[in-house]
Amino acid sequence: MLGQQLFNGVLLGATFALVALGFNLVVGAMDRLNFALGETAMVSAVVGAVLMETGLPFAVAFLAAIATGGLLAVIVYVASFRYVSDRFPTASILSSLGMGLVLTAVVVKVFGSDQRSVPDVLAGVDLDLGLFRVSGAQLVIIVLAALMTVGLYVFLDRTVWGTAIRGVSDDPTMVALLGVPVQRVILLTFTLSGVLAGAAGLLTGLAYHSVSPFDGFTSTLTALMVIVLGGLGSVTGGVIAALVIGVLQTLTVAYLSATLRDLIVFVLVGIVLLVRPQGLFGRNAGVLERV
Amino acid sequence: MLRGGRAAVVLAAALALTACGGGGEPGGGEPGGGVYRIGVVTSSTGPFAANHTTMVAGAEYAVKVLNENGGINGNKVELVTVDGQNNPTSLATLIPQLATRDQVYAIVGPVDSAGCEIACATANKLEVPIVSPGAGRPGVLANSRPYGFTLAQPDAANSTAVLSKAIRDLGFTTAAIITDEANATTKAQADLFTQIFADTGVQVVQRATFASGDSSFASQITSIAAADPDVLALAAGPDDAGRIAREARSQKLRATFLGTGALQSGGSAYVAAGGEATEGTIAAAQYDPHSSNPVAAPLLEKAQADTGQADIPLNFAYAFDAVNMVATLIKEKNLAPDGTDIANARRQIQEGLNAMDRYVGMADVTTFAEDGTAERPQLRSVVQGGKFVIDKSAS
Repeated sequence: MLGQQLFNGVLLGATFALVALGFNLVVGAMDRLNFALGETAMVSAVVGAVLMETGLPFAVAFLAAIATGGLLAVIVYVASFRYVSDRFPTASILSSLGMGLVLTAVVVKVFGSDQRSVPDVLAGVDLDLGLFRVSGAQLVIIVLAALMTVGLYVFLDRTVWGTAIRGVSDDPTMVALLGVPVQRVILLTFTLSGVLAGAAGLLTGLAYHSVSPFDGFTSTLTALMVIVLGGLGSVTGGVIAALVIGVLQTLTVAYLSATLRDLIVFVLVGIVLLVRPQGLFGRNAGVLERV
Repeated sequence: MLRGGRAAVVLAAALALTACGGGGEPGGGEPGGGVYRIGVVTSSTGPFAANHTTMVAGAEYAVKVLNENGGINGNKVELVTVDGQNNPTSLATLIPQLATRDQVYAIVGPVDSAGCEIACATANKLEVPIVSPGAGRPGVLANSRPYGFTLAQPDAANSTAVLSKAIRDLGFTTAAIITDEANATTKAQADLFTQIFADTGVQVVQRATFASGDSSFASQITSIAAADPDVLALAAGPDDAGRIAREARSQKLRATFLGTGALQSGGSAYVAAGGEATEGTIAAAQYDPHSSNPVAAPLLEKAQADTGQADIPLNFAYAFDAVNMVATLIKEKNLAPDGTDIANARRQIQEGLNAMDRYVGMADVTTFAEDGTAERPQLRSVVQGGKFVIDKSAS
């Protein structure tokens, strides 16, 4: 049973990782937190679930979810970041929080406040790997989450635009002087973060079998715990912290109590903040580690 | 006057009020032109918003049928609907408003226990009869007597006999219980299951908990699946229970799901959340939308035809009956319309409700116990074809 519980935790952590990576991209590009990213994930999941309910294949729903996430992130960027003065760093935080509330309200208005069921995928698949079993949906979640994480890492490490994103993250003034179109790079960064959030939203819905219009802020809080633990701006730190939190939450529920689940994570994050405020892989990491 | 099994009197009155007309009959207040106002307390937001919508529809349908058949002695019945928006402060303001400004004879609603605890206690202080078409938490009317009533029978009273019999009939020997430990109602359900399993000799091999609002049940189901129980008792709200069912089936757990009457009353939400995984779920029930009772059956059939619903929901039927109970008492006690001597009228309705024995309406037979909760039929339901149906062979 421990093997299965560990796998459950890794699965949970994989979905946390995607939305946390989305947060980290924006932090790297602008030193700002996009508090509407959880709601972006939620809206994307609702769109994906609605499409699956109409009978469209999961692949189409997934593409629609990540497209929705990317589009919404661009809208949030324009509304809450692009034209907000750098002199008022809290303004973009409050503005993005407001955008999150707007997104939730729109979903409630259009689709209602009830939880929406997310249809299963690969329902007939059940792999027995000895220590644990993997269902079709879990297989899809783990494969897509891994592909997107590795894809992001490769994109940032091996492509011109990825290098530009890392450059903007490191010193936007310098790269602007070198001719890098900083605003376009930031727009691309937001789009990527939205794509990751969109994927996280639908994959989380698949894992939980449902999506609620009120899931957004919970996702945001969890992602904040992940990036505080892993270190603001660190890709590797975000992934590792997400897996740690996922496994920790799962084992707490399995062997202690469901009501202690969040408490233990908050205590862990509190200890990390005291001992290593920059997080496990934070600002002291190399440039590649920072987005 | 209704105690003592005089169902025929109630039945005759109900039929006269709802089906056979009654306009211009002698006795009972003014002979036409007046109005009897009944308050309805709904909530357009919160977890029970859908139940409230159903309740309002049932109350409005009852008034429509009453007025189409001449009202009460030629006097119209009107609903005064207020929206508490799932807010205790709003309820504490709206109930006095119904009592003083609107001069209602009685109040129907709210359907949920949390709302009823506030609204019913407030109405009781103001000495206005209030009937909840759904509140079923134990002790929900503790501060609301003698003016507070609920048409729902609490889980412990209704479910124990039904579930014990189901366990014996089906030969279950091992069980697991999953509990929402952040909710008083579901914790009470877990205690109920524990007692039932102890009484029937079923070994509880695993217990798992979650907290309201949790999204993932993978960890809990993995633990339960390792114990491989015959039955999994769902001490959870219907949405959560549905998602637990899906997770259980996705992890190949083959246990039969067991629920209290609360699961059946939220059956549509349970099935919507759980889909095919909910098939075969057994739950206690206190309402049969396809009752064969000679009074209930024609009322249900007419409601089905008039509203286009294949199954009349529990809260609809309970609200319909609540309005008709009040109307029956107004007619029987010759209460004057337009709020005349309203305090005396409310007292007489309260006394009539407390004395009511075996009222037969759309929701079959109801008797109010001394604590204001209803004594209801004890039925077994099972999910078949995507909905709870009453297992008439087992009830």
